[in-house]
Order: sequence, then structure tokens, then C-alpha cells
Amino acid sequence: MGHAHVEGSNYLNHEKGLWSWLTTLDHKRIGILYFISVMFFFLIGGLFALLIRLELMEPGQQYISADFYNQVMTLHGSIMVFMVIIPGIPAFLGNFFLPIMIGAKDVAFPKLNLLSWYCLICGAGIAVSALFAGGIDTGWTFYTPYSIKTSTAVIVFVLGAFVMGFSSILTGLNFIATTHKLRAPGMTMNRMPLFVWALYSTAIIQVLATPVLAITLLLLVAERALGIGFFDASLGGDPVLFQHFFWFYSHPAVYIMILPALGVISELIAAFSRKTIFGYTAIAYSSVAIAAVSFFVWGHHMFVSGQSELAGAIFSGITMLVGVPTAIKLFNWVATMYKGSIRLDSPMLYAIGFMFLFTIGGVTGVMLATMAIDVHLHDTYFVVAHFHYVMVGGTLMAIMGGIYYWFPKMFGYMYSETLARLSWVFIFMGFNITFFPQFILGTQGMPRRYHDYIPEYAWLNKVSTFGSWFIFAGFVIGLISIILAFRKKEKAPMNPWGAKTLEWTIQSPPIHDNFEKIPTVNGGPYEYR
Amino acid sequence: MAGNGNHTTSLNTYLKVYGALLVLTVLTVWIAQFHFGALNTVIAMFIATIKVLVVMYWFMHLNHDTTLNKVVIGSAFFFVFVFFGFIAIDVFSRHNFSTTELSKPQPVQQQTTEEAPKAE
Amino acid sequence: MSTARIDEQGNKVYMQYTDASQQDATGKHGVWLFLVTEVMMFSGLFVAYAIFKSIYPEIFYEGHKFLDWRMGALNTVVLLSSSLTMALSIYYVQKGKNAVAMGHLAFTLLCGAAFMVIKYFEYTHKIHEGLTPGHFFTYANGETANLALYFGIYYCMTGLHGIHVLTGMALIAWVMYRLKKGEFSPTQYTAVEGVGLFWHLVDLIWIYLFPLLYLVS
Repeated sequence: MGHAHVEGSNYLNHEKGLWSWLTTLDHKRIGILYFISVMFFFLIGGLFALLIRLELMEPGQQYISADFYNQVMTLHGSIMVFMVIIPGIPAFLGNFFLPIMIGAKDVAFPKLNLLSWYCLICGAGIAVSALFAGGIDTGWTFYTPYSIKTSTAVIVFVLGAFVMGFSSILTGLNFIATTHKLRAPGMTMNRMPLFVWALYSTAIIQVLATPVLAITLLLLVAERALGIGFFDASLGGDPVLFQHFFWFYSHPAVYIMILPALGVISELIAAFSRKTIFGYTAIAYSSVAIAAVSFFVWGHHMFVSGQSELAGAIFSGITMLVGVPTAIKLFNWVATMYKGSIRLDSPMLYAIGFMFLFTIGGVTGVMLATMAIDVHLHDTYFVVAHFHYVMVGGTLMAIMGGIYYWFPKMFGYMYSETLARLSWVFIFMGFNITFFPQFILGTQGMPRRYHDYIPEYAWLNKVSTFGSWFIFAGFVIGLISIILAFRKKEKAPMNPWGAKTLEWTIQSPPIHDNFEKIPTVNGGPYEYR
Repeated sequence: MAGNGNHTTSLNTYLKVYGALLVLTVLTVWIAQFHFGALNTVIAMFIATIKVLVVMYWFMHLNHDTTLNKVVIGSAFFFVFVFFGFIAIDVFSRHNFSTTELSKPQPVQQQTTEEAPKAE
Repeated sequence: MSTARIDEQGNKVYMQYTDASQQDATGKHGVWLFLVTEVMMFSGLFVAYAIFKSIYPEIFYEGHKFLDWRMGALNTVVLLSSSLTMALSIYYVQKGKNAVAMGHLAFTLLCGAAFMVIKYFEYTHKIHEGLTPGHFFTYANGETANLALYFGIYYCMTGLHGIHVLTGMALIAWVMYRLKKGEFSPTQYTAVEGVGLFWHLVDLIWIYLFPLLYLVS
């Protein structure tokens, strides 16, 4: 039921005051709450990263002890995984835009949506409190038996991760129900924007995989507190079983991290090539395919763990398969750009940067999937470089592109294109300088998660650390560009990019109910010509 | 109304379903006294699965519900199978663990956990 | 705050929904999605059970002898009965017979309590014998060396299940309270259905637990 809204009213000024934000049921506001939280966690996780690189700039111990290094690297990983990259796109951009893109007024369960944010915050609080109870030094993977025996605050930290898992589960549950039930008239599944397909596939993983992490973490707590003996060989248990349990979630989890990013890129490529996306159906179904196949490959993290060769060979073979739907997306994006009317605005720079960096990350992933190669590269910096290429070069670039693309819609202001491009230059350059040398270091044998290394690795480590400062500068410039946009208040038009999905048909910022009247959809999402 | 019209299962049907569940429970206990080796667990799980399907179809109203909800819950069981299946492939092709030591008649020893040696 | 309107039949419909029917169908769908998460979470325990039983069959055989299959069977009947009365309570709400429905919900709640009482007796008996989990295992007359592992599995599985029984009981009490306040009618009773689905899941898990823990041969 629409009602004439007051001129100038939008979801931001609909209600005022902190309490209205903390009790909001508006998916857009909840998206913004996530944006602020995730940015904050990214800052903390990033500072830990800078500290790691600072220590690794030279061989030997300079600033922090080996024990403290183990804590720093664990926290960098855990914070980035659980508090930044997993919620990053779905809970922020997804929450904001999924309902609008399908022509709905909100998600299916707004109260669960708010609860999901509180789960993230409370879980993060519990996890951070572990820092004051002894910290955690197991690596973000909490492998047994060390995680059972170490005197650090594993139980507290892991319970924090447990609570944060519910944030992910609730978001996923909400998105599946919303996509299934709340599409506007005429919005068939095959007319949904690809970002929605991506979020939907991600949600399927969130609902199926995260509960297994939950039970794994609970069993780890029981192992430490009670000594039940599932994962402790001295009690008859099997540490490799822990890894199976852990990676059954954590491999699909990396697809939680990348699928939404792939969705963002599809939106950006279509909008900034001003062309219908090539192979819509292939891209849509490839998202679901990736989600499904992601559950059959987790053992490729365990080739040298003690897992049998047969299992390793099977996991290795199936992992090759998962590269196929991903590559299909990449080819389709290139085909979309071909003979398109390309605009190199900053969101598009991030999208193109993504295509380049994610390809490197992806093919090095296939290299690691090859068991015979992985035996040599497992636990080296090659792996570290691989996952940073896909998670930072991939997901983080997509978040940045998405932020700049949708910033005018979310807040009604334009940002400085100059600053955004400058930010991109620093981040893109800095990223390659930081992480490409790590591929080489890995093939030369430098192990990961070590606080020190032999002098032969010194030069490339120094280069890598310099790169990290460029990245830092890039993000500072990006932050400045956002802050200045809020200060300058240069009004953004309803559709600055001339894009065709539903969010560009409503005012910037959107009204509380998104639409004055629920639209009836007559065509696909990318009908440029 | 659960969004699918006025379908209601009859009282009679509910009672018959309950009766069937009780019979299947008795059957499970009765069969357990025979020793078929590894087959015992298989049979017990098979009967249990029938009970589960019965509860889902009538008590949980899947008989009047959308295909979507059936697919949703079916997929959960499918992925549980995947979870178990791949782990089983690993564990049963390892050939490197001996169970004889741990299963031998022995007094139970209390295990104490030790601190990890300090890294330096 | 999320706004809602009252439709012609007196149902409360939230603004993102076009009508009560869509709202109810979505609610039910959401509960099934939640049940998926519960199945996946418990699956970890069932998988651990399956793996350890294949590796250490003697431990499981010996361990199960400390369980009284009659109490397990009784608990199975208790939960199956509670599932019947849960389904019937929905049946009576559909028929508009709220008082009868309330009675059935109360009986369901009672069955849940009975289950927990029987569980309490089982647990205290074992604790008395020293058959306690992990570090605290003090039973000294075991034939197999690592009987504690069986009991680790036993307590984790029945413990997590027990927590869900208690949660289900709380949810049933909540629904009974809302029923008393007159919030349900033959056209809107989704919460009762949703709680019912959760309660049936608790029953389903026990249907698998009972033979696996009590009837090992």
C-alpha cells in the first residue's frame, strides 16, 4: 500500500536517533550497520596485516616475539574471514539491494535480519574479549591437536566465532526465503539481476555449511573442556577428522566469500559496457553450480594431512571441475565488454582489476588443486598469495567497486571520481607488489605462518612489505573520498550510470518502503539495446 | 492457514500414522536381538528412515506442502550423505590405524593434557 | 519499525507481504530452511558416531550395555506420542477448537518434560557409576581400554538433543501463551505450525539416536 511520501524523506531521515538505528527493521539501515561494522573490523584486521608485514620485512626478530606473531597472524586471518569477507558483501550490499532488485519492500524476516547483525557484533565482542584472556595462536583454522593443548583462549574465541556463524546463517535463510517468495509480479527467477543469483547461491551455502562449523567449534570446546577424545589421537581420536569437519564448512565458505563478488562484477560489467550481459543464463546457473560443487572438494586443503591418497585424488579431480563455471563467468564478462560502450569510471576500474587479479588467483588455485604440485606448495607462501589474490584481488576489489557504484543510490551523494581512481591505483599497484613476490617465495619454499625466515627470502619480503604500505595508502585515500562525499553533499541523480536494474528506478536515497508502488516487471535486467 | 489452502489431514489418518510408528519402533527393538553383524545397523537405519519419512509426510504436513519445501529438506539429507561419504572414503582407505590396541582388555588410563612446549 | 496492516479476515500482514497467504507460506518455508541448519548441525555428531563405530566397534558394543534399552524405548514412545499430540493440536486449531488444541499442546509439553525426567535418571545413574565424559571418566571395570570415547559421543549426542527438547518445550509454552491470548485462528496459526515443525525435528533426531546408541549388536 503506497502513501504519498514527504518530499525529501528517505530511509535515512525516516526516523532519527541512535535508538532508531539500533532497533531498525529496515533492510537498508541494517545494511548500513553492517557497512560500518565491517569497515571497522577491516581496519583492525588490516592493522594486524601491516604488523605482520612489518615484522617480516627483515629476517630475524625486530618488533614482536614469535608467540606474539602467532597471535597476530591468527587474529588477522580470523578477523578478516569471519568479520569482514564473509559478511562483507552479502550482509552489506546484499541486504541493501536484494529486496530492491527483486521489487520487494524488505526481506522476508526483518527481525531475523536485525538479529543477524547483533549476532555479528556480539560474536565479535566475545572473540575480541579472548584477546584479554590470553589471545589465540592456532591460526584461523584451529587445527587439533595444538588447539586442544595450547594455553591461549581458544574456547572464548571459538565461541565468538560460533555466535558469528549465526549471523551468516540468518542472513542466508532470509535471502533464500526472500528470493523464493517476495519477487515482484513479472520478476521471474530468470529476470533477476545476476547479483541476486549470486546472493541466492551464497545463501544456499550459508544455510547448509555454517551449521557444520557450529558443531565443529562446539566439539572443539568439548575437547578442550572435557577431553571427549574425538580429535585427540592420545585419546583414540583423529585430528584429521577435525580437518574434515572444519573444511566441510570452510571450503564452501570461501565461495560465500567470492560468489557475491562475482555477482557485483556482473552488475558492473553490464552497466559500464552499457550492454546486455552475455550469457545471462550461463552466469546465473554457474553461480548455483559453484555453490553445489563447492561441497564436494574440501579435501584439497588436506592433501598432506594424513588423508588417504585415494581421497586426495578424488578431491583433486573434482576440484578441477569447480574452475569451469568460474571461467564461464569470466569469458562471458569479456564477451559482454566486446563491442560495448565502455566507461572507465572507478567502479569499472575495480571490475577490470578484479578480472585480472581473480584470474591469477583462480589459476593458481587450479595449480594447488593438483595434488602432485600441492604436496610441495602446501603451507608455503604460494598458498598465501593464491588466497589473497582471490580474496583481496577478488572480493575486496568487488566490494570497493560495489561501494562506488551504489554509493550515489545509498546516500544520494556523488564522490570525487579523482580520489576514487587514485585510491584504485594505489590499491591495485600495492596489491600486486605485496602479493606477487609471495608466489615466488612460496615456490622457493618459504613456509607460511612463521615469524621468521632464512636470509635467502629477505629481498622479496622487503618488496612485499613496501607493497603493503601502498595498499594502506590506497584505502586511506578511499576512506577520504567517502568522508568528503558526505561533507560536500553533491547531490547524485537517480541514475548516474544509466543502469537498468530496479534500484536505479527509485530515488536516491531510497524511501523507507523502497517503492511507492511495487513495480510490474516486463523484461530482463540488462536491456540496454 | 499455511498458505496452501484448506487441506487438513483427518484425525483417523493421524492415529493410523501414530500406530504405524509404534509398530516400527517395536520392530526395531525386536530385530535388534538377532545378530546379523554389520547388517543390524543397516536394518535399524532403514526402519528409522521410514519412520522419519512418515513423520515428515504426515505429521509435518509435507503431504500438503510445496515441492520447494520437500526439495529443501531433501537437500539437507543429501549433503549429510556427501559429508559422511567423502570422510568414509578417506578413513576406510587409510589402512594405517590399528584398533587392536585400544580395544584390548586393559585398565582405563587417565590421560592428562600437557602444555605445548614453548616455541622459541 | 516494520509496519503491518490488518486484512479483511483480521490477520496481521507485514508490509513486505502482499497478503496473509504469502506471509504464511514464507514463514513455513523459513522454518524448513531452519530445520536444514539443524539437520546439518546434528549431522556432525552422526558422522563422528559412524566413523568411530567403524573404527572401534568393541567400544560401542560394550558402551551400549550400560544403557537401558527399555528407558530408550520408553523415551521413543514418549516423543512419538508428543509428535502425535503436536500434530493434533494444529488439527484442532484448524477446526477452531482452541481449548482442545490447548490441551494437546499441554500434553506435548508434558511429554517433553517426561522425556527430560527419564533422561535425568539415565544421566544420574551413569554419573554415579563414573561413566562421565572425557577427563572425568572414572569407571574402572571397562573391558575395552577407551570406553570413555563411547560416552563422549553418548553425552554429546543426547546432550545436544536434550537442549533442543528444552528449547522446544519453551517454544510450545510460548505458543500456548499466544493461543490463550487468542492470537490464533483457523486462518492464521503459522507460529503453531512452525513450532510443530521444530518439535517434530526433535523427534526425528531421537528416532535415529535410539537405535544407534541403545541397540548396538
